[in-house]
Amino acid sequence: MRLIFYSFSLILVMSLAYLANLESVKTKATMYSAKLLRTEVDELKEELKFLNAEWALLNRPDRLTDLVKWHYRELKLIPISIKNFKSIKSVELSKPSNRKE
Amino acid sequence: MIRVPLRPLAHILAVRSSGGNPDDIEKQNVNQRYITYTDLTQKRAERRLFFVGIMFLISFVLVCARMTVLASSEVSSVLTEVSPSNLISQRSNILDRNGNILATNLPTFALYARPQVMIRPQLAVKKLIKIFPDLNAKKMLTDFTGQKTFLWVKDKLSPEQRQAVHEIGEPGLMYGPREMRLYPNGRFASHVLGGTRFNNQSATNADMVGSAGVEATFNNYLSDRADEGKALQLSLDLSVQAAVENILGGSMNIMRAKGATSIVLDVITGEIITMVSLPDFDPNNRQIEFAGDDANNNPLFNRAVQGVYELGSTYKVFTVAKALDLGLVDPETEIDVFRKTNILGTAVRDDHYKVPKLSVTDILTESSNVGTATLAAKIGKNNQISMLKDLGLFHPTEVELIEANGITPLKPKKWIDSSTVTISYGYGLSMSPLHLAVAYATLINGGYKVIPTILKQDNKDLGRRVISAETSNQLRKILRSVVQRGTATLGNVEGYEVGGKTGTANKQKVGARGYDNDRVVSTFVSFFPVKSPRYVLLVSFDEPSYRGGKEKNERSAGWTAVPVAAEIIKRIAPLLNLRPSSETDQVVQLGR
Repeated sequence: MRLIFYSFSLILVMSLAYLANLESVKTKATMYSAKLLRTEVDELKEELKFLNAEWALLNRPDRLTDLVKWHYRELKLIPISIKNFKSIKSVELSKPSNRKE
Repeated sequence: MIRVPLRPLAHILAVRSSGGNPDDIEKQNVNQRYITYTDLTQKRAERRLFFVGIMFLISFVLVCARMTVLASSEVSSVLTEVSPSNLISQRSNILDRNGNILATNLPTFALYARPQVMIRPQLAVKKLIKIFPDLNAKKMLTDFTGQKTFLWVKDKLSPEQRQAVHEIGEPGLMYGPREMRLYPNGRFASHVLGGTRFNNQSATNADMVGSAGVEATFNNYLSDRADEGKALQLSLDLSVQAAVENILGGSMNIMRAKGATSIVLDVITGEIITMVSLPDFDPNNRQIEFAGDDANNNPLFNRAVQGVYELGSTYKVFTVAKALDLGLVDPETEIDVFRKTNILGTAVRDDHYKVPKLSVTDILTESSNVGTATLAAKIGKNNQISMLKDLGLFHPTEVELIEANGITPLKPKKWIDSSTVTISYGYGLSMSPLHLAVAYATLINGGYKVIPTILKQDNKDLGRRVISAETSNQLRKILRSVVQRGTATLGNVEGYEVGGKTGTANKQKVGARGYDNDRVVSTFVSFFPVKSPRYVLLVSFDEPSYRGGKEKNERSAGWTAVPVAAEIIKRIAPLLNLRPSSETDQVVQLGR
């Protein structure tokens, strides 16, 4: 009886120790991957910063003005002015049709 | 402990004499000893067991406590212990009101040299000069071959330059990681942004600090890494700023002016939508060698907030406003005017005198010095001073630019009668263009005090009341008629009702008393739309002269600043989401 009790306790302790170790290994692995992810996030953020800066540089007012000038023939872009505003009355709405059903 | 002998002689003799066996006594004593010994060891064992039990209890309690702490603590606390990021740059971005980037940080490298480990310094110098023609070859060679152990070669390297230096193959040339401030829009808004420089350089890092503009004012905010470097959002609108700068720059060249400045201000929130000062500079390369003797002409000088000028007839509005607010006159009240007269003992003249009587409205439309001085005498010195003080013209503006700190308008040391007279039409009180724009915003927005700001405001309460709503309304109408039929007729813009006041002030002679006739500061302060004002626009030129005017060299604001302001409004009003007035006829209530 005593032998059975002892061996059962031993097996219990061993298996608990194994589970604990397993958890510890898992935690370490997760922490490592979190670290990797963090580095990746940082790198992506840095890249995004670069791209944002590049985008801002490409969209700087001087360059846009030049682009509009160079491509005037194809795009015919001109600065917005009062002529671009129209009253709602000047919009021609489709009249009710007289079509016979 | 006294040891009892196993065979005490007295007992043995006694036993022997009674014929007993003396060995029994020994046995008895041995037995006795054994009992004492077992008692002792049992007690000792009990004590030890008790001690071990206590130890176990303590350790169990400790383990339990630790487990409870672990079980109840947040998981994230474990994650945050993982390496903090050190890649993210050190300084926050600066954005305009729509989120466009005005300033950002990029990683780059600085180049330094360790002459001790150099192999062929002569060759290195020769090749470095090819990459960086601005370096001094002679100095570099003496440095490289001398006793120095460490020296900086170049602050910032572009990736191409770094590759080129790498290809020299010289082991004594090394790179230190650096951050570089990039202003992608170049010269636009350069005065507002200011610039940065490096502080405490070392091989591995360098602190970046703001040296001017908002970079300096908000240095602590921008270099604070908490909150993942939240960006600083300014009230500027990049597209409007660019439009104004382009128009102003073009006209400055046509008028051969020494400088120009322009401010667009939200009349309710006090947000500065654009601030231009010309000539300007590229903040990416702030090292400007300025050789002139007048600091006002240095491109780094922000005319809009640092320059104080006598801004002429634009001040007349303040006198008229106070007179209306006190109820001394109304816009139709007629005032006697003369070509030349004496008011409070000061000689005043009107160069474009036409009729002997002018209504208060016409005093502003005709810009009559005599009429304004008469009103000033009517309201008196104290009322005049309190008006100017209420408009914030005796103190620095509260705008968050380091350059504006301590820029107080220059007023006479002793406010005598002649000060009252001359200041009423624009001489004797010098202020920055921003002061003037803010004062106008206060007068026409319904009479609420405006405090200028360079930061985007989501919600701002109206300021303290300075003049009544009625006076403000009257002023709007008067200033509208200045544009309709007065000195600023070229300021009419189809679709946008514009009101404003011109000012052409002669500049003081250099190194002598009195004023120059051919050197002027011409200013136009306007606002639009008149019915429910949203923006104040100030345009000012320093020493303009325009050849297309009535005279050979036209300098008056009506021919210089006004048409430019009209052009600017035409261009920026749609950008500011303002519809032409034919569409928005009803008056919009002020306030939000």
